[in-house]
Amino acid sequence: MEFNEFFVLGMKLLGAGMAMLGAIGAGVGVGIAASGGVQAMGRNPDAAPIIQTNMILGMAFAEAVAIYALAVALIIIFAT
Amino acid sequence: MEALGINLGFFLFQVFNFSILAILLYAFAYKPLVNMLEQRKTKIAQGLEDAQVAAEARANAEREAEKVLADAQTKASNVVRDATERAEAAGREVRAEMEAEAAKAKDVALAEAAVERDRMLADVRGQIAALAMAATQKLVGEALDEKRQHALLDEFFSGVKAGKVVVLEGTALAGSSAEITSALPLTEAEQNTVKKDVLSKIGDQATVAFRVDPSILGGLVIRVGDKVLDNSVAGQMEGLRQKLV
Amino acid sequence: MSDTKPKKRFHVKTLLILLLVAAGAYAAFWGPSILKPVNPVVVLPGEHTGLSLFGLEITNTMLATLLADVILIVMGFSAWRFAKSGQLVPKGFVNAFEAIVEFLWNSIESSAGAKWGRRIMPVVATIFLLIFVANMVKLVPGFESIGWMEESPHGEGYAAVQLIPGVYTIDKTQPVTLEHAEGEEATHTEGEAPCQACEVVPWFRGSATDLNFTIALAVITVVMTQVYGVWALGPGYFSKFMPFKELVSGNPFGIINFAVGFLEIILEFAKILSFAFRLFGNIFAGALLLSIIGALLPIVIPPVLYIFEVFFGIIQAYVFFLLAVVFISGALVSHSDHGEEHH
Repeated sequence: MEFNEFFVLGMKLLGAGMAMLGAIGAGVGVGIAASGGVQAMGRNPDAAPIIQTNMILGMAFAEAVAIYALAVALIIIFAT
Repeated sequence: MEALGINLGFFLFQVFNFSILAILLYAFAYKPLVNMLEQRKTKIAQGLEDAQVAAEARANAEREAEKVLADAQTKASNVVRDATERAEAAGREVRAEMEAEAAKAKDVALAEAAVERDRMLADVRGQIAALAMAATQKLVGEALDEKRQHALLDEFFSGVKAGKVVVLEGTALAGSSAEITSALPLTEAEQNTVKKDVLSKIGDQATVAFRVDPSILGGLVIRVGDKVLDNSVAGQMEGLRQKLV
Repeated sequence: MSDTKPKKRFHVKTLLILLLVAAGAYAAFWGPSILKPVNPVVVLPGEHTGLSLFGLEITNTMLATLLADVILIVMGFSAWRFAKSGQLVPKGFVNAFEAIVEFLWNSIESSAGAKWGRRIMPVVATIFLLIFVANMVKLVPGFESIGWMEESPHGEGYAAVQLIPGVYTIDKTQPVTLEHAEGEEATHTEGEAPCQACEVVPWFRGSATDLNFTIALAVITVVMTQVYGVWALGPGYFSKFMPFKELVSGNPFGIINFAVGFLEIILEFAKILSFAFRLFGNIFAGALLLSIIGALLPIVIPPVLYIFEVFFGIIQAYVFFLLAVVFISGALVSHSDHGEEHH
């Protein structure tokens, strides 16, 4: 019984940590978006405001994945 | 859900809070500020437009000012020229007037001098006659009839003999004016005689002027039109001299 | 003169910074134990402050939200007074507010147009301003550190030390494993410490570290998206979710499009989730990072993270605002060819 409780707690934390692996993809995605955005701005500085807006939008969507991961992790830790 | 802190009451509180805030900010901030932004945008646009219009207007005004200036300069030079001309004209007029006046004064003075001279010559005529008669008496030795001597002298000076002008005898004259020159001023009666005689020759409408020229010494010179009848002593002496020489 | 002056100022600043670093190091390593930073207690829900309004308990995140409200209303009121004065160029405080509103208005106008921009402005601009002000206010020292001192529910905390009568702080070097926690102040008027194993329940905590706040904003955004969609397109707006016309049109892709419509519905709920957790995750993680690093290495690093937090507070407010504008202005325009007639 005692063992099971600790085992479950440990597994919960491990699972939360593994859930956050999803942030890897989001990080890569955000990095790619930023890279593309900066390159585009370097090529065409006049269009910088539009590129910036769209870049931030794209980064926000890419980040959404990490946010789902975070939500799952939080739920695992606190809500189970 | 409870562990994540999600609670319907808190959630509704936040929604309510947000709604109140949105309404307040809309009324207080967004509406007036957005209106102000739009107003400012239009004002800036209008300001730019106005500035352009003003620049154009200024260019026009400058051009016009230049034109006005040029006009003014032309006008000013015209005025100056006019004034100069008028002043010159006025000066000329004044000078002419003065010259005319001077000439008139001179004429008057000359006329007066001539009259004076004529009067003096008339005065001396009697004395000359007396002297001549005395000299003749001395030379001739006998006294001519004094009356006859006077007649001879008169005839010498006036060229009038027995009421007729000697020089006009047997000549035909035509003209509208006659000028009669004598060595000494003729008397009233002689003048009348000569005038009548001349007029009978050339017509009643003609004018007769009398001149006194001592250089002809005696007799009359009558000029009618372009014809000169010289019956003067000087003329006769000249003729004599030419014959002799 | 002009050469020496900046140099002098530079030295003053350098000295000031070095002094602050030294003070931090002294407090963290050599100073009295009460100055040492305490390990943070991770609490997800907003904590009760003991106040209540119409039977609803007020949490510290709600208090922080109300504080942000007050600041915004004061700014809005000064802007109103300024706008009433009829001037066109604001000064000082109002100028900053006006600059933000102008920036927001330009963003809204460029994606939704002037006509609809005015209609969606109250929602999206308030979202930006509220998140922005809340994120900035939460960085004020005293947030998350001053509050009631209470018994820790976990049974692990620190002993309370009296600073001046009625004001206590907790001492990191005196852990009590009975009940217990962190923080600085309590107002029990008894001479005795208010608790044995204490933790501080702060009066103010960043609004965005409470899921209620972020979910409320997300739900408002998504619901208002539908409201504006119906306002702009009429009932035809819902054909986006249930494209019956596609189904009966005989188009072989009709069924697929119908299924896509069903996905659109799910997407709307996903929007709520991503909106809410993006803001919450960023701000909560930032606050957590700040307090954990602050407890581990209280010098040099926390100021850098603080600057980072300011940046993230602005960016997250802007991202939330931008996504709301994009979603709402997307809803104003019909997706299907049929709906093109509407605008």
